[in-house]
Amino acid sequence: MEFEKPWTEKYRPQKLDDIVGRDPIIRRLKSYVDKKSMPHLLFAGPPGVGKTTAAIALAKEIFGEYWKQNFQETNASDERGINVVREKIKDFARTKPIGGDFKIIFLDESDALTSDAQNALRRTMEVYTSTCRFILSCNYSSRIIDPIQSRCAIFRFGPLSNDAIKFMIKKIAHEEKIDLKTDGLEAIAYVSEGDMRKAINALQASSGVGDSITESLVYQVSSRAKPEEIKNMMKVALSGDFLSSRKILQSLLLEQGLSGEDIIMQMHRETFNLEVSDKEKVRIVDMIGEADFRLVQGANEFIQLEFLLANLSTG
Amino acid sequence: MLVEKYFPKNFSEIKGQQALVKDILAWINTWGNEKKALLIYGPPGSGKTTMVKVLAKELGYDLIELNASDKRDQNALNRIAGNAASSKTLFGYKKIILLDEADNIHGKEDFGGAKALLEIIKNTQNPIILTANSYWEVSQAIRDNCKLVQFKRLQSRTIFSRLKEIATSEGIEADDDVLMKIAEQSSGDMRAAINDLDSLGKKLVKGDEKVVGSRDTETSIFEALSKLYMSNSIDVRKEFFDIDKKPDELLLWIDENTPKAYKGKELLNSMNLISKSDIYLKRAFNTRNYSMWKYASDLMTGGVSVAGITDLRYIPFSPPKYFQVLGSSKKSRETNKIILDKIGKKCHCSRKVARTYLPMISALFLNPRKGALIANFFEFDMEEVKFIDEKNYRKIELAREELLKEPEKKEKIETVPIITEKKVESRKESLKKVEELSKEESKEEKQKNQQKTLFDF
Repeated sequence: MEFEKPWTEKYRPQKLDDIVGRDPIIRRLKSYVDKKSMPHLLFAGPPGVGKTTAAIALAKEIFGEYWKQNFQETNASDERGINVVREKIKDFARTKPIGGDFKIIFLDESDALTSDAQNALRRTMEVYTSTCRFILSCNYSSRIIDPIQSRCAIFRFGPLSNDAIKFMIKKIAHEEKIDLKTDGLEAIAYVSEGDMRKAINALQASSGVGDSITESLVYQVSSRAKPEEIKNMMKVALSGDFLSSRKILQSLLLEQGLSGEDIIMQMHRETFNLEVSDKEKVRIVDMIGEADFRLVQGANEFIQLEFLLANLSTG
Repeated sequence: MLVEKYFPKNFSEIKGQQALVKDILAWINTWGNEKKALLIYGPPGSGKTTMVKVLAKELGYDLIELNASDKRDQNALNRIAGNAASSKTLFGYKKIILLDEADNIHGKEDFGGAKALLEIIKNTQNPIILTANSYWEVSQAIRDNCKLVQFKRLQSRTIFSRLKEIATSEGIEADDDVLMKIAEQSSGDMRAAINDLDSLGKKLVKGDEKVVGSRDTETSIFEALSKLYMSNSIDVRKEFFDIDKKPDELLLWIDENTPKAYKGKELLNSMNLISKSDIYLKRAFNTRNYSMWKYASDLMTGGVSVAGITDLRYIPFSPPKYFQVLGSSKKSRETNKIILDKIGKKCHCSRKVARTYLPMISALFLNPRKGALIANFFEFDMEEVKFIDEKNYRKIELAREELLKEPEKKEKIETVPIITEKKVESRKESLKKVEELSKEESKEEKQKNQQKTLFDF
């Protein structure tokens, strides 16, 4: 069946050398390839900056044709909890490496593991260390327990530079024969905030809508990307209509399955796009901060976000 | 015990629910045509179990009972109800299976019970009757498979007349006033009223009813809620002592109804207290120190009462939408999850990150061919495509059908230049590519075969 890949996959660098904007990190990783050995690694950094790409490229270069047999990718945030560590990871760690001395387990978003699960993980890392290396990726290394951190070589991936983003976007536009305007390129770099995935998705989305990629098209498309409903919910609440805003919340949280964390992050971002005075924006940020705090402390996300809406709707 | 002595022996002795007898008889007489199970729900003492027992007796059925005190996990249910439900009786008696307090089948102790029950209801060979105090506590799947009959709270007059009959026949000397008071106090619970009468001896005088007045009767949550919003006192918390709801559930009830009673500052203060109660609940849960529940309960009841007062005479209270929405949107949340998992698998990311692909995908969906191509990559089925873009999914479906018509052609075009163009590629590499292609083809064939079996199935 004919298909088209998302460009993030189509143009995902396959070799360490193809990864842009990460020179010091790549140099260190390549030394592991030369030695055909590596310690446990911890990749820390925001989304879309090359953590997974680096891990896959590293595995490919170390294991060559056997990389798929010796590399396992697991996502900690979707399969949260101790069972992943106890079963899935352990099962893979137990089996023998093929055509090499060790295998690699890549545990994405490992900061989503509870501390219990992290402690179990630490034991697994110790027990199987002769046959198995871990690459843990996370957004915040501070959420990883100290004993694990001390067992890992830590790599910090910061947001990518504008130049790195532009280089890659230009390359893709060329390959795909897209008419990419200069202001369109600038706009993509701007909205990406150093996140390559976001940049490439913005390019591909724009190419689906218009023939030549201009600034206005990019902004038009990436505003589609913003959940308009969240802004709308805030507007409705600010107009004093608590009950209607609550209905929107119900749909976002319970029907569409967004997490409370997602919603509050978006609300914070949208605050600065609201048509209210700066003084009001300060007040709103303060309220969102309080709600974020309570979200962590409370049991029911719906109730905590509802309080925030009540706050917004009572001027 | 008077309750047992005066237990109704036939339909005519059942008080107050006469209108429902017809419904239930109609259901059992045409059993097999309609829903196979009957769910009777209503407050305690309104005659649910009584009705079933009389029914079995009058129509000559064997009654097989499963109470809440029995363990009702999957095994137990299958063993008792499963057998009773499917096997014919030894001596040719017809059977009715009664599952009392079906709303109490949940939680860890009855693991798998709800699921097993649903299966039994669907496959039963004999009529099953479930009773429950609360409609909402019975899972929607089970409700959907039952004929529903609601028993209302009995009227005080009805209870009074039964008390009077019993008093006369027992030779109890009692003022009508006292009997009426007992009837009123029972809040529509016949069993409670008869027990009260039983405990007061042979001669009742005015004021006696107060002795039994303090006994625990389940006041309706609606009554407690109206007291909460219509008064302004921390003592309102006592109104909720007898309400048999866990605090997290009670919190949702209060959360649902507070915006109907309060506005402005009063509402805000209440929502603040509700939010804080939720935090106490989490703390209690985390530390397993459930004595901390009391702070949550105090704040959500007494606290919210003090936060405001409504001048509405009537508030249209309703049960929390939370469970309803959670239940009815289950399917769409599952579809959403499947979509995100498919993206995550192909793009090496979590569901959270996968969500960021959705805007790009729906932008491509605006163009049917591009939409079809990307949908093919992620292997979305049409339901999933529809979930992402309800407006354009038909067009994408057509475009995908078009694509299916020309797959062979495409692959040949790609393979031709490898063989004809003798470029930099070494023979080894081109061989490898051919190998890969044939591998892909065989994969495709496999998929086709799988699909066939799926369709056959």
